Amino acid sequence: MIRARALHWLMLPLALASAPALAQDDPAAELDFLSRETTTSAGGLALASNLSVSGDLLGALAALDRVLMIEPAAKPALLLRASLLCRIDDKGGGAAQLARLSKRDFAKGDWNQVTSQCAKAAPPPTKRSERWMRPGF
Amino acid sequence: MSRTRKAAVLAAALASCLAPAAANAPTQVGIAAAVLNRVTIARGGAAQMRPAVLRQQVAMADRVETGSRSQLQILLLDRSTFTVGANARLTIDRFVYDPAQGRSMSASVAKGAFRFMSGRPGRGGNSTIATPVASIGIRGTIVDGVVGADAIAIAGGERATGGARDSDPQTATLVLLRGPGANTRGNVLPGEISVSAGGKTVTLDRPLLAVYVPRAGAQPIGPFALSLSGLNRVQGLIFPSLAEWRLATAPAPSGAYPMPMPQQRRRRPPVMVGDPYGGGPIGEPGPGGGMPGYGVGIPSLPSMPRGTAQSPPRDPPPRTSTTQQEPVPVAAPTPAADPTQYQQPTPPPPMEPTPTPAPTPAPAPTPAPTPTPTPPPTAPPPPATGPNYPPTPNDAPPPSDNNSPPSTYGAPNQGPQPGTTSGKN
Repeated sequence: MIRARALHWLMLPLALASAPALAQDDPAAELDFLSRETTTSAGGLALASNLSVSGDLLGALAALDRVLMIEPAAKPALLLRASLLCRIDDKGGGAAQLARLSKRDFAKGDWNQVTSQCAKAAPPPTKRSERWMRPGF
Repeated sequence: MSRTRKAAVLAAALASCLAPAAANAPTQVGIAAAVLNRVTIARGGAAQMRPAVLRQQVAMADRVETGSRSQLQILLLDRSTFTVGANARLTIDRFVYDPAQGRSMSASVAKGAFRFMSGRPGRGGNSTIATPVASIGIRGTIVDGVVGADAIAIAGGERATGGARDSDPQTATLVLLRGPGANTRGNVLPGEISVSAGGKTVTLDRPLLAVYVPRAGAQPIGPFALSLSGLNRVQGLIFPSLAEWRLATAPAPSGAYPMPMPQQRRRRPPVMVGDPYGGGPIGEPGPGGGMPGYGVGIPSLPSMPRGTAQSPPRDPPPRTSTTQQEPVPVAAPTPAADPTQYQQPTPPPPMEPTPTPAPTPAPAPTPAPTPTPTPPPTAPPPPATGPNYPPTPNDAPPPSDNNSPPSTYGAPNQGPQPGTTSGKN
């Protein structure tokens, strides 16, 4: 048993190293993998984090959409989604998402980071913001 | 006849039986990546609708329908996603994908709410979504849309549409651009959409700009900035479960787009173990049954947890019921992790008062995102067949089409494409 487990951990890096080639060669298998990873909020959150770190913000948002479909109360996913929306310049969408969340549900650093990200992108919610939202402004 | 020879003859017979089926198999364009509640798919224009199964193949000309409180996300081969909300009807009319050159897709949405997200940034790709009254050309972006009476209800609340009078409740269409905008970050480019109807084309190039087409033959109204309540309604149609959860926990903010502020007041949670802000160790619920301590779940922070106790199971147990939500054991049960909870809303958790719309003070400068150089999510893909993989004849590699290069996974639909016009791309 111990030997098998050790072998598993030895094989894991090899498997991960060979995965990109597999994914590129077989898009269908890649889709299957992406779908499987988002069957839980934890897996989906990890996947979305990795995708966003690699710069695939839209892929990360799509992964979070799948997570929220089955776990709409996954608050870390909601916070990450708000962050991603702000990062793709969907300022209003990110702010609206954040307004539904409570800062008490998150670590202070996470909450402050996301809100500051969105604050950099979004204007203050005054009458001026409506003016900003108007086309042509 | 020897045993080996018998086996060879049997294999040849099987191959000859299966070959015609493979040749006639519909061209796969993607999979049903997430299925919620009642979703049905009719194969290639067939009349019979069959319940959709998680990760089943979706082929060209398949007709997808969703029931009430239902939702589906189709993950296309180029990693674009098509999400439809409740009471929607969608058909992928055409899909051509060459990993080297990009993707070309056209789809029809007859009714309901939808979201399309472009995939594979940096590669060319044109997409067109046709509704009964408009054609939407998409270039590298996220677009939300609503077709039917709900579009009238949302547009009726917008000043720019003049109350959405003289609208057809069957065909009225609202289209909304979500992003990426000009100030986007990451490996994405700003996108835009163009909406054509009644001989006029309107281009949307900034997030949250919307266009409304009230009926067939009418020109698009807009672009206009969708209000917050309108945005929430669109979101609620695409994500019915999320909308229900939100209704159970907090009232929808209204008015201008709110901006929650960074923490200002020093209100400490009752118990402090590990994480001083209410979360427990990673993978365990916070003290007092609060949220699990995900620690830092935001990827731009350096200490993002990966591959620890939160790692998803590689082989989820096979589903035994008809529900599409895989009953995967979660190490850290969230307060509403049970999928049935949003059908019976639980008492809302203690919420902060609605953020006051006060000007946001300049937050403390946060360090620039220093992501750990992590390889993209790559793991050995699971086998193509398994307990959750539907035994369809499409498991074989897709047949090559005479009109497309060998590496192309889709091909133009030979049949007519009603209502599909090329958008501005």
